[in-house]
Amino acid sequence: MRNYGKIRAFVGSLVRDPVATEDIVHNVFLVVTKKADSFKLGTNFTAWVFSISRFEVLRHFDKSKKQPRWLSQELLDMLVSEAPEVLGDSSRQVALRRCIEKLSPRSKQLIHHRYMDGMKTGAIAKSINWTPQAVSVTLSRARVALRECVEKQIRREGWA
Amino acid sequence: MDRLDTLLEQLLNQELSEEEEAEFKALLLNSAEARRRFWDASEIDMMLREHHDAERPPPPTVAAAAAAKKKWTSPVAFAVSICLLGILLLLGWQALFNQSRNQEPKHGFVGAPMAEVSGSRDTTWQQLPKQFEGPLPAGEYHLQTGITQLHWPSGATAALQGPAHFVLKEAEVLDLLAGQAGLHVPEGAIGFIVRTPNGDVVDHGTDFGVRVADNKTDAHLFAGEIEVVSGEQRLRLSDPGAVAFRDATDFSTDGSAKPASFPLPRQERILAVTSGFDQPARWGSGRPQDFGIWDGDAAEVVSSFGGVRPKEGSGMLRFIASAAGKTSPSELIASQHLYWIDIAPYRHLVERGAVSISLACSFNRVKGDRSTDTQFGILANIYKGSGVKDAEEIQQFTKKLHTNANEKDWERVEINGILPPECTMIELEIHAYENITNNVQSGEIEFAGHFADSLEGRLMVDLRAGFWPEDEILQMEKGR
Repeated sequence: MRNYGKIRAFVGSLVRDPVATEDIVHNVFLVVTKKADSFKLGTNFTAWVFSISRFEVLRHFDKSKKQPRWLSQELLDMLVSEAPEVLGDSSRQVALRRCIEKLSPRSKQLIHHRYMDGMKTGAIAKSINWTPQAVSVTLSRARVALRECVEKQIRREGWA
Repeated sequence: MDRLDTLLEQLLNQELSEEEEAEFKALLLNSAEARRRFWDASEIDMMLREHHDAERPPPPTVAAAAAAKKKWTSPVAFAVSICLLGILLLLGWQALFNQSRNQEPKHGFVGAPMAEVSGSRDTTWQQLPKQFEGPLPAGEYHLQTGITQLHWPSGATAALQGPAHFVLKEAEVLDLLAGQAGLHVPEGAIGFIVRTPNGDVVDHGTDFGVRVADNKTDAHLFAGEIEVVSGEQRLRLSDPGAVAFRDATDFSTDGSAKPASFPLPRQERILAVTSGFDQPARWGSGRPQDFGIWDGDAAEVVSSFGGVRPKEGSGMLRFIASAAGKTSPSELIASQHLYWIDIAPYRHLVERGAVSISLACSFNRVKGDRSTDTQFGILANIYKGSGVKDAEEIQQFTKKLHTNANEKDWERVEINGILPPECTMIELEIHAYENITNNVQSGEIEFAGHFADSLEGRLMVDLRAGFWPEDEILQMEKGR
C-alpha cells in the first residue's frame, strides 16, 4: 500500500468526490495487481500507475456521466502528463503533519474547520464572524504556506 | 491572491459555478504554470483530507456494529459469529440496545434505538458526527454526503446515499422522505416497509431499491418480491422491474430495474455449494451437466475410513480414483469433483464489481507410507454465458495444499477473489492429486484414503454508492 497516498492524491484531484475516489483507487489496485507481470522493470512505475489511474478515472466519468465540465479530455491528458512524480508521497504526508503544527493559530483553526469539521467557506465565515472572502484568502494562503513548508522539509531531510 | 487562486479555492470547496468552470478550464488549457499550480493546490488539499481523516476519532460503536465490521478471519470465527448473531436475534436486539441506552448519548438523540448504523463511507450528517456508527433512536435524520448502512433487529439492511432525509419512528419501517436507498431483506425479515410520501414499498423477502425525488417514488426490484401500496392501489412485483408512482392514481412501470443506480448494502450470502458431505450421493458420471449437482471421478461419501473421521457431521467425501471407474487406474493425475454454482440470483450484485467470493474446503488423508499421495487442491473456474453448456471461461482462482500425515489434522484451503462483473456461473472443483507416483496396477484403488469435508462458499458484498441517473439530477435541480 506504499502507493496508496500517491494514487489517492492523483485520482482525488481529478474526480473530487471522496466516495468515487475510493472506488476508483480500489479498482486501480485491482488492475495494478492483475497486470503486475506486464510492468517492465526499469521503466517508470509511477507513470505506469498514473496511466492505469487515468483509464479508471475516464471509465468512472463514462459510467457515472459525471465528468466535471472544466475537465475536458484534452485538459485531462495535459494534467496527467504533467502530474508530479512525487505527488502524495508518504514522505510528504509526514512533512505535512509537521508543517500543520507550524501554522498560525488562526490558519490552523480554519484548516481544522474545513477538513476536520467538513465546513464550507460560508459556514466557517459565519461561525467566526468573518466574510467568506476573508476565509477563502486565509485558507488559500495557508495551503500555499503548507506547500512551501513541505518542500523545505523534504529538502532538509534529504528525501527529495 | 490572483484570479487562478480564487478559482482554485472555489474548486477545492466544490463551489465553482458553471461560468467559473469555463474560465478555470481556459486558464489551465492555456498555461503550464496554471496546471502546475493546480497540482500544487490539489495535492495539499488531498493530503490535508487524508491527514484529518486519519486524525478523526473513531465513531461511537456498539458490540454488534463492531462485530459486523470485523472481517472474518477463519471459518470457525465465521460460524461462531453466525451462531452468536442468531442467539442475539433470538434474545431480541432490544437487550443489546438497552445496554447502549445506558451509555452517554454522543449525538444528542436519546431513546430506544430503532436501527443501527453498521457501516459508513465518507458520511456527513446534519445532526450526527462524520462517519457516525452506532445505534439510532427514533428521530429525523439528514444524511448529507456519503453512504451509510442501517441494520434493523430483524436483519433487514439498507444502504442510504446522501443527500437523504429519513425518519425512524416505527419498528422495521424506514420512512424515506428524500434520497435513495438500496435494501437487502433476508427471509426472516419479510414485511419490512419503506414508507415514502407517495406510498409504501412492502418487502416480501428480497433485494430492492427505493428513490424519492421530484415528488415521486421509484421502486426497483432486483430479486424476490415487493408490493407497492398507495391508497387503495396495490401492485405486486415478482420479477425484476421498476415502478414509479406519485399516488394511487399515478402508477407506471417501465419494466427495467437499474441496480447500479442504487447504493448497495454490505452483506454476505452463503452459497448452496456449502456442504458437509453428509448425504449419500451418486458419483463417477463425469462432469455435471447442470447447477447444484456434485459429480466427477470415482468417489463416495463415508463416515469413517482408515482411522480418519469426518471433520464435522456424519460424512466426508472419499476420493477413490482419477477416472470415473473405481478400479481403472488412469494416466490422469487428479481425482476431480465438480459443482456448478449459478450466479444468476446474484447478478445484480456481481455486475456492480462489488462482490468477492470465498470458497474453502478441508482435506485429510491416511498416514500411509512414502508412496502415499499428499496433495489436494481447490479451483474456481469463473464463466460467463447463459448455461453450463455454452459457458465461456474468463478467469480462474486456484490453490493447492500438501497435507501432513496426521490423520486427526484436517487442513483447510481457501480461495478468494473479486468476481468479474460479467460472471454468470462458477464451476467449483476439488482435487486429490497423485503427486507421488501413479503407481497402481489394474484392479487396485488409486487413493489409499484421501478425503474432503466442510466445503464453504460465500459471497461478500461491499458497501457501494449508486449513481443518480443524469436526467433525474437535472429534474431535481429544476424542481428546487
